[in-house]
Amino acid sequence: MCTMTRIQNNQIRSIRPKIGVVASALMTLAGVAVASGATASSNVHTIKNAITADTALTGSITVDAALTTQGGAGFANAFKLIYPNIKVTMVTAGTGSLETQLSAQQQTGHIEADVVLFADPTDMDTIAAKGILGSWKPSLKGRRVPANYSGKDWVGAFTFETVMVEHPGMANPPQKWSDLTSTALKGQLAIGSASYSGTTFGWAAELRTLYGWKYFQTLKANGVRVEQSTTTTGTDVASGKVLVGVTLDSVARSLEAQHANISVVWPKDGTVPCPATVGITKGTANTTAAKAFVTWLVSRQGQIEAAKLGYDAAYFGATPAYPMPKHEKQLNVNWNRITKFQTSILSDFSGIFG
Amino acid sequence: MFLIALLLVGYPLFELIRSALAGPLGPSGAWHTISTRPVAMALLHTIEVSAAATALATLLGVAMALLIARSDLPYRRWFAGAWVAPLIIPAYVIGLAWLDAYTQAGLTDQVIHLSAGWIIGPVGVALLLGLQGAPLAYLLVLAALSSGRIGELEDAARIAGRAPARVLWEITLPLVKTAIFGSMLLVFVSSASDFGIPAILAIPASYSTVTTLIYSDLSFAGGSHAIASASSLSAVLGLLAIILLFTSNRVSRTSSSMERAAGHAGSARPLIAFGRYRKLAVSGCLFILVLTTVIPLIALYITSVSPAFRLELAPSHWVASAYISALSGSNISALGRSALISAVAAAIVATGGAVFALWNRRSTRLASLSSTLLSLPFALPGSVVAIAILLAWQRWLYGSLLIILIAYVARFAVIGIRTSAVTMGGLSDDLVHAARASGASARRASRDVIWPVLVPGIVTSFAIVFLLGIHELTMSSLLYGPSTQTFAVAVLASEEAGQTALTASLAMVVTVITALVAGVALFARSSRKIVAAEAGIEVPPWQE
Repeated sequence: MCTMTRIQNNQIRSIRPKIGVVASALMTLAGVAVASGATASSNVHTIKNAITADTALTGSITVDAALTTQGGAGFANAFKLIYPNIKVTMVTAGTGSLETQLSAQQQTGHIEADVVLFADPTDMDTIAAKGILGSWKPSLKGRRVPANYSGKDWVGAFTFETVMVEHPGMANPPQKWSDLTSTALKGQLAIGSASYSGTTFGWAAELRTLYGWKYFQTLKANGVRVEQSTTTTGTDVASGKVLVGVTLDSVARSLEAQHANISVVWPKDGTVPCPATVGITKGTANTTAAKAFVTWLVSRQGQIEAAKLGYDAAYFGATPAYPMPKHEKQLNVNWNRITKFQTSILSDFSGIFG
Repeated sequence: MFLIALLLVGYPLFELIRSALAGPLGPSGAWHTISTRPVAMALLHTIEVSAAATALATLLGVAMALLIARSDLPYRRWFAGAWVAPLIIPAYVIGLAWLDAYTQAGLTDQVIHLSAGWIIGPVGVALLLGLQGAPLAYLLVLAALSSGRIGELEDAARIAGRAPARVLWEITLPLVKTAIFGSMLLVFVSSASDFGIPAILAIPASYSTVTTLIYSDLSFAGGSHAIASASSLSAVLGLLAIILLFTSNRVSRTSSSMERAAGHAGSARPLIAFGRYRKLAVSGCLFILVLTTVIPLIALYITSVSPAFRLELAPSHWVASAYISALSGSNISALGRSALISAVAAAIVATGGAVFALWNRRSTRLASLSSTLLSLPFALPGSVVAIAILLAWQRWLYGSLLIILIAYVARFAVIGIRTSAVTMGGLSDDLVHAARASGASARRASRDVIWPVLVPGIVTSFAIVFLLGIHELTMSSLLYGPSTQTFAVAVLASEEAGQTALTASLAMVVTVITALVAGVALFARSSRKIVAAEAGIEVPPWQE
């Protein structure tokens, strides 16, 4: 059943950490978290966690992250609470953009990034095949690892769900992906670019499997607005530029936290889940610090932070505020198949949308 | 000097041609790339919008020039300056401003419930490229109208009893037709090369142009064929630009003697007399200015101070938070970086241009070849120059500030060379000989005779290149690395990330900076003119 969720701000609660000093620091972070849509729901109350700062580890790392600026800053700030002597520089952009930059850097013989955090597994496999990633992976022992959350040189960190957001009060709001081809939405729909956004690539690949390229040709004929990122598609709806946008659940949570006038639609035919993937680069000069970041991200503490920032954590049951309702359908994406046909899918998408 | 010209321009262009023809795909691969449907569509779209923009820019530019040079329109001096304003504002800022002003949920939609969704798409791209190109056509046609003996012929025809409309149609326009044709070619090339406006208005409509395709190929496509594909596209765009500009130069050379001849600045009697409709004419001109520039900039400002996602019209609700973000963290670093690269590039171009002009006085074949080489990048589209520089230097300099600096210096070198060349034109060897004959040492003669002549040219070049550097988006967007983002790229990245208020505030900051630099340059020029007038010195034409 399709549900339109309007998140009430009075429902927002934050997690209560145990340790006094760190607690106050986390409370400060909570401000950042709320500003970026980062809230944790009461259902993480079972996760109680002791956090202690490790001042012994020093260094400086650059993280290429396919996140929003706020999301990247949120992770960097939270990590620095644990490792105050490790400087973190977050480079945030779309997965396609970061992958292109990494490939170009590889040709010069110097890769600036120490850690890579992409928004889908296909591009991670691509850079792993190019030898950009190091072969180290953090141990996921004791965690229930979902399918598709572990690759050759990377692991899944959290999940993006591709959903719809709509302007409240629409006469016939879309309830499933196929509704987006309706002529009633002519010029009123925004989607991301599969070349730029890894999650949009995953969404396009899965919907192509379900409905074929005809679906996208109809969207094009209907004057769909193709933005670069899924954040833009969300803000397009929030600012009233279009009525419906294909975006991420994390973006929707962030918009809700900023009191944007939107409603989230969990499509009846299923959300498209997309694992955020993380690994370290081959030959990084900051191996210890890079490993510390990745290990922290998939740790209980890192997963709680992910949930607080509005992402669906992969491990330890940490879920964000207002998670995807249990009864909603989630599509079972065959990432291996998608990775195999990545080039042709991107080419066909570009053929339609330029 | 020749070696510098080779390294800056010759080697990168050679690498571009080599990559296009002898890349992993080979010459047939290059042809295959160009003939694929997406590339063919991008080429067709580029020609389509550039042609429409050229038609609009020519109509507007000629009308503006006639109004200034041949009408009794009040406040002509003021309008003469106001019509060039779009040249000061970066194209991508104009694009963003129009979005905030006229599209759904924009300023006019909120105030009078009127929006124009077609702005996103080919019509909007052509319209804004046309408005950007109009000042170019206006300046060229105005120069033709002001510099020939056309006015005298017009007066003669009027005395002979010809009606003003017939004089305009039968004498004025035919005599400036080469200037009009030249401006059309120039506007076409500048429209086809533009990236800022298509990036804002064409990409969301899935309407690719050559420059947006090069950008997406290099920025998002990633694959090993991306650079080969971008090279082939760049080579095509570069070839198109060179053919058109070569034609434009040929046309200029064969321009009528009337246009080239010196004479008085236009007809004594206006050919377009508004009479009692003068106020209406002023209102019409003001309306166009308000519609095309003022309202969009107001909308951009309101967006930048609106607290949430919607435009907030009540000033009491305006907030400065977006400006705080725009002027802090990575954005202020990007601004500092842009200012630094622009200033260093401007200093190199300005002083290098002066040194080159001194060297070029000997008019050797090598100097002439160097001059031609260094002039090429300014004529070529920014994307082409960026790809050429990338191919030549990325192995050592990818993602560094130096590669962006090299691109800026290569592209703007001609400004320093031409400005100093004109300046040096005012320097007679006799002056230097006279100084030496009067007992001045070589150093003293340089300081007292050559240096004062060169300084105004250096200052002018510095100001122009600095302004263009702060504006620059096309090359920077293809050359920046994770830690070398320029301010213009920060605006684009913010727009791509959907940060509406931040994007608007960044755009406002860059507009204010460029307006300030242009204002200071204008003030300096006016001051020099006043001082010169008081001292009874004639101001050389290149300082006008």
